[in-house]
Formats: sequence, structure tokens, C-alpha cells
Amino acid sequence: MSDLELVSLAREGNERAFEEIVRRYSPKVFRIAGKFFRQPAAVEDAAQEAFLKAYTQLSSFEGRGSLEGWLSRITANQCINMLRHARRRPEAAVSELTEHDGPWLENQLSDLSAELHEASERGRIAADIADKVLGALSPEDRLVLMSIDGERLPVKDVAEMTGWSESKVKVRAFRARRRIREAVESLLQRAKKNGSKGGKSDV
Amino acid sequence: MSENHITNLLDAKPFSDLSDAERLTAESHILTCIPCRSAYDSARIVSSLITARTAETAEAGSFFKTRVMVEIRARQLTPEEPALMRMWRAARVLVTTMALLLVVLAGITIYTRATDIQEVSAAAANVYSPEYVVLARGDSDDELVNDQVLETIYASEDSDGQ
Repeated sequence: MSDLELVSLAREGNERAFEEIVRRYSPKVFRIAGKFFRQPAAVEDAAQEAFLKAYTQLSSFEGRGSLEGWLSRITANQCINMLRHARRRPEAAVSELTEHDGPWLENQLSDLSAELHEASERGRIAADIADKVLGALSPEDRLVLMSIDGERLPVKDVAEMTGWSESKVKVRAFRARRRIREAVESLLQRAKKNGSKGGKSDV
Repeated sequence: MSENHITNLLDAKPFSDLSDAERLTAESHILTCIPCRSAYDSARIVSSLITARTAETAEAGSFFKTRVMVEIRARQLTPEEPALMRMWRAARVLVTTMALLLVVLAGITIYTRATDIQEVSAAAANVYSPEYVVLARGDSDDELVNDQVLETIYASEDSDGQ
């Protein structure tokens, strides 16, 4: 059954049809929600809210674009709103890194070998730090960066997902890269300073 | 000198998308430029961080579909109608009431106007009624005009004064 037929049936209150939509597009919705949230429960909550919103707004789906694109946009907006409500101050997120994660960042500089990356523990720590650093960005910047730099999505797809123009997506990505790079740069400088102070005090 | 810095190059695209030529340019530049070296290292770390974060995938549990459907029933959600239908549904009582009120008011206005005309016509026929005085004023030849009334009043006042 086509997406349009499913939507049409779901609009009339056919729950089976909507169940099929949920089954078909859960992977996509989860993938988008996973860019914003790390905890599986949070991802699932976001995905659920996105589907509930889609259900109540079925009448606004006119079938001009794809159902997948429409759901992606709803999910992205839903996650942006949820993150906006839940987010802490960016400074707080970045300052958390200095104590525990500075050494890891320094290791990254000195040893960025592939073997190190493949180690699951290393990967988990890296993802932890990534999450904290990404917390310094606005939800929109985070989405753009994770989509283009992380998932390698074309700018066009991100534009469709967000409803922005392609040039706006490019500008957002540029600024997001700069912000996150500068945040990491300042962290590294702080970590180095702390390291050199510690070294002196040991002597 | 600043136009030769590589920060714009680093921010323009994902780090892993830099071509060999761009990488070569950047790496030869950072040999002499300390700020750009720091930026280059940071960009490389950011790239690996994002890769690590992207590698983490969340998948829908086997009960997710059921959970969504249960939530739809629990919240008693329904697919919304188009906006115009929703507006009509919300406002139809008000609109109907206003339309009825308008019809009633129009009816009352027409009815009272017709009654007034009849009453005025009837009253105008009575020579002692105010309507007669107003409507028939000046019709009679033996009625005093305003100037004559005033003259009479002043004349009576003058005679009182004397």
C-alpha cells in the first residue's frame, strides 16, 4: 500500500494504517532523534512525540512531498523544541569538559590512531565528549552539523528536513563548525594549561 | 597575511571532505602559523568526535509501535480536520447565533418602523396632539407666526413694566 493510501486511511481513523506508517518510518525518525538525544529513553520519547504530532496533523500532509520528508521535518522540529526546553546553558556544558575530559582531548592530539578509535571504550568516551561539546551549539546548529558532517547527508536533504533554503543550511553549517572548533580549541588550551600547572606542582 | 589563514577552509566543509590539495595547503601553512595549527588540530578532533557520536545509533524497540498506538488512545487523539473545518466547528454556534440575532433585529426594526408610521398618521389626525402641532404647523391661516408671538410677549412685558 502506498504512503498516500495509508495517510488517507489513517485520516479516517484507521489505526492499522497509522501503525504501518509508524513501522515504516520508525528507523528514520529514530535516526533523527538520535542526533539530538543520546539516552535511548529520550530518543524514544522524542520519536513518540513526533509520531503523535504527525497523527494529529495528518490533514496537513498534502502529498506534494514525500511522507518521509514530512515526518523528518516534524521530528526535527519536535526535537529542536524538546532540546530547547531541556537544554542547559552552553557555558555549563562546555565547562564540564575541563576536569575529566581534558586528558582525552590531549591524547587525541598526540595519538589519533585508527586502532584507538575502533576500541569500543574509546568510542564511547569520544561520543560522551562529543555530546557535551555539541551541547554548546544551538539545537539547529547541532542538527545541521550532525546531518552534514556526521551522517554525510547532502545539503539539499537537510534543507528539506528543516524547511530552510540550501544557502541557509550552508551558512549554518559553516558557523556551527566554527563554533564547535573554537570551543574545542579553548578546551585544549585550558587542558594544556592545567597539565603544565600540574607538572610544575609535582616538581 | 590573514587571507592566507586556513580557518575559512576548515569551516567551509567537513574535515574529512578536504581534498588532498587542500590538506597539503593547510599542513604546509600550519608549520609556520601557530593559531592555524591549533585550529587545524581542533578541527581534526571535532571531526573524530562527530564520527564517534554518529556511530551511536538508536533503534526502535519491538514495542514502540504499540506504545505509540496506546498513547494515541490514552490521549484520545484524533487526526485533525483541515483548518477551515476546524474554524467552522469552533465558531459555528457563535456565527449561527449572530445570524439569528441579526434576522430578529432586522425584523423588529422593520415592524416598529411600520407601526410608528401608522401611529404618527393616526396622531396627526388628532388636532390636540403634538404630532398635529408639528406636522400641521403653519398650515392654518389664522395661526400666529413667531414674530407676532414675540411682539405680543414683549408688548405684554412692556405694559407690565409701566
